Amino acid sequence: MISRKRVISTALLLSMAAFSLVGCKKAEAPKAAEAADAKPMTRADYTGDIVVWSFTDELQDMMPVFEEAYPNVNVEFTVIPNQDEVYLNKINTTLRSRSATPDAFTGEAAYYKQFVDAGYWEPISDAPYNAEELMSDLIPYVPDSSRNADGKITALSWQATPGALFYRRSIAKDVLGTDDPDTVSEWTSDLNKFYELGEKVRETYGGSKYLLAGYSDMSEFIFNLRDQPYIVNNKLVIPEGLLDYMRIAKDMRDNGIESGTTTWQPPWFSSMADASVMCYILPTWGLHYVLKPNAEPEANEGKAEFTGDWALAVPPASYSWGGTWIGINAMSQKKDLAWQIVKFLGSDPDFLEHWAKSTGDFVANTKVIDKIKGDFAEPFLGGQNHYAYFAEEADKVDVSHRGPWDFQIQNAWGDQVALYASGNKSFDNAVADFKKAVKEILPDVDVD
Amino acid sequence: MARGLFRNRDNKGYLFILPYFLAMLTFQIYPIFYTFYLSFFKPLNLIENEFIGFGNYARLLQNPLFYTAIGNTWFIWLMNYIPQIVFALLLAVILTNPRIRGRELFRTVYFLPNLVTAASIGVLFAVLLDFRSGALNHILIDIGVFTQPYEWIQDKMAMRIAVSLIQWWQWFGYTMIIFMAGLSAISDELYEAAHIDGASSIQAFFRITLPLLKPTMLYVMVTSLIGGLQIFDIPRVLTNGRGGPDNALTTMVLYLYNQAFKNFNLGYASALAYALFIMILVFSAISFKLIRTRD
Repeated sequence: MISRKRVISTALLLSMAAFSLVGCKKAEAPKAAEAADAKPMTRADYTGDIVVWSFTDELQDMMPVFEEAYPNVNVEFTVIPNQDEVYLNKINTTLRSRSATPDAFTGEAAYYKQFVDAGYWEPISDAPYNAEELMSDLIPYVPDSSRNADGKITALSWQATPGALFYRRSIAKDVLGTDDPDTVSEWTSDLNKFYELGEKVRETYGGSKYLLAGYSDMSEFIFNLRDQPYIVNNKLVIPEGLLDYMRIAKDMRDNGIESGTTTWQPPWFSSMADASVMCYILPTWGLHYVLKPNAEPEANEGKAEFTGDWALAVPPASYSWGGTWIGINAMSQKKDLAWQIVKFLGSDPDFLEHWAKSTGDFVANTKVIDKIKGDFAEPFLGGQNHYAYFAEEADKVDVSHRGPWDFQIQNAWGDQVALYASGNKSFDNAVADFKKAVKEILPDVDVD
Repeated sequence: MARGLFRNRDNKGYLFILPYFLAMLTFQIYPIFYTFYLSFFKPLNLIENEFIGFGNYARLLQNPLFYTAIGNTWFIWLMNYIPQIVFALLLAVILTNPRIRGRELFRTVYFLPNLVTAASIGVLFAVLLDFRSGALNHILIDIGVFTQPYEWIQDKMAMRIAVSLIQWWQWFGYTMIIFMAGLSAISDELYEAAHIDGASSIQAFFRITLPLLKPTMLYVMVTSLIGGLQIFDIPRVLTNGRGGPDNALTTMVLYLYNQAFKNFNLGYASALAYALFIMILVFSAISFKLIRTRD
């Protein structure tokens, strides 16, 4: 997804910034440490080698920055892609055998709650880590959603992942007569009006263009719209929103509001470039890693100018999608060093400011966000400031109902929605079969 | 002591076969027993398990999806096996005929699909069968069979047949080569004798070729059955690992895989593995028996 050129340029930028970081760090670090502790520990005092595993190569660009800041710590970093659940199973077999390596490892939104549940990650709320002290600077939901059954934080993240809706300005102009984000947001921020907008798109183009590539693009904000977990007191709860989603999905399919592809399938990606679809519902990372490289690949690689034909509007509901957390292996022998990297990636303001500026990623530190949010003008979005928007949305994110099995349960729901929407199953049968599917995931849960 | 044991020349042979047995113990025998041990546990979370005796086996036997998975596996296997051997036998007989020109070329061409990895075929078919942008729907609409695109990916029977078709296409060339090897082992004298006695070529086929090809057919059937009962890759790639639509492509091994690596239930997956193991054992025994009693 990320071009080689981009990786190289990012790495260059990072290393340059890393030098400047070290420069200022050396001047101020001892002072802060002395004030806080009787026995001061500067970053240079940490020595040793640590092993870090991740499923995402994002961290590859972060490690040099960390090593610059901690000159005597050497990180042995390994990327294990999670294609075919390889990373997940590698972590499982490693941690089940009580291995002390890796010292720190990442977990993705789809399964990090499983890690928390299993106690793979060391609780870091209390001494010697005191992660609670960092809370005032962080977007609360990010560390909060890693709390274990005892209420202790177990992992941090450099990013927050609030959601947005991206649309093609040219289609908005044809359909609504304007491409102004505020006006478009009036149509996109309410689910009923959003559907109406879909009908307008269909009428304007005689069915050759669609509001959405697939109804499944809506699933993330639908899944976020719930006031309790899926499993309460060992009983399955199906939120009303999920039932509505099933009905809307079929209406959209039957009435040509969506183009009939599924999120992450090849036609879904290609629809971003062929201008047949008006809206994509994607979060922070979706802009940089999904939409830009697929909608305007040449411009994204720096070979052309962005057309600025895209813009950001308010989705029908606030949501968070994805995210990567990093925590300390509870079996690690080098927890003090591992904590330094977790703390650095998950809270260090200098690092996060640099990371935000070089990648455009939305970071989890509120102070950094407040400092930099005014400066962003994304050429892909015709100069719109997506950062300021995400800063507002991040406060609305509520993922307190997330559970370890959400990913599997939501996939099972998605399967039934697809069968109902394609006319292969009745509504009641789809719901009944979903319950059976949950029984396959969690055999002891009461589904009736 | 060990040195004394191997000083005897007759015992030295054991040293040479030792590496194989060590590897077999580590990678085959030990996992077989450990899987059995695992099948008595139920996960509490990713790391903790609870002993439940034969609970996983009880769950499996009461679970309709277990039988669906067996049914799917058999359906997909039979739907590809029957046309496969008919086709392979026909082609093998034709292509062993010395009067046919370019036999080697055809042999290679028919064998080629077997060299393509299942994963890429799965991806290819997923694209071909796609709802709006798939080639199949485009062709059917262009020639006027359909007026609307059809969502093949959500049609249970269509997807099962698609998998059988892929399996057939991938394996008939391989089976054909095996049959050709079997055919070339049949002595020409038998055909000459039959010819002199006035047998037609059709009679020769049913009276000489088929009976003498029986051991080859047994081999093909047993290997195909064992492979067929383990079918996994194509259903997985074609459905993104979901086994859909509506579990139509949830084969035994895909079910096992998803339970072990997506639902993290190693105990139940181990019980499934044993069920599969016993099934393959029983059916292999039956097919050996069948062929032998007919001899």
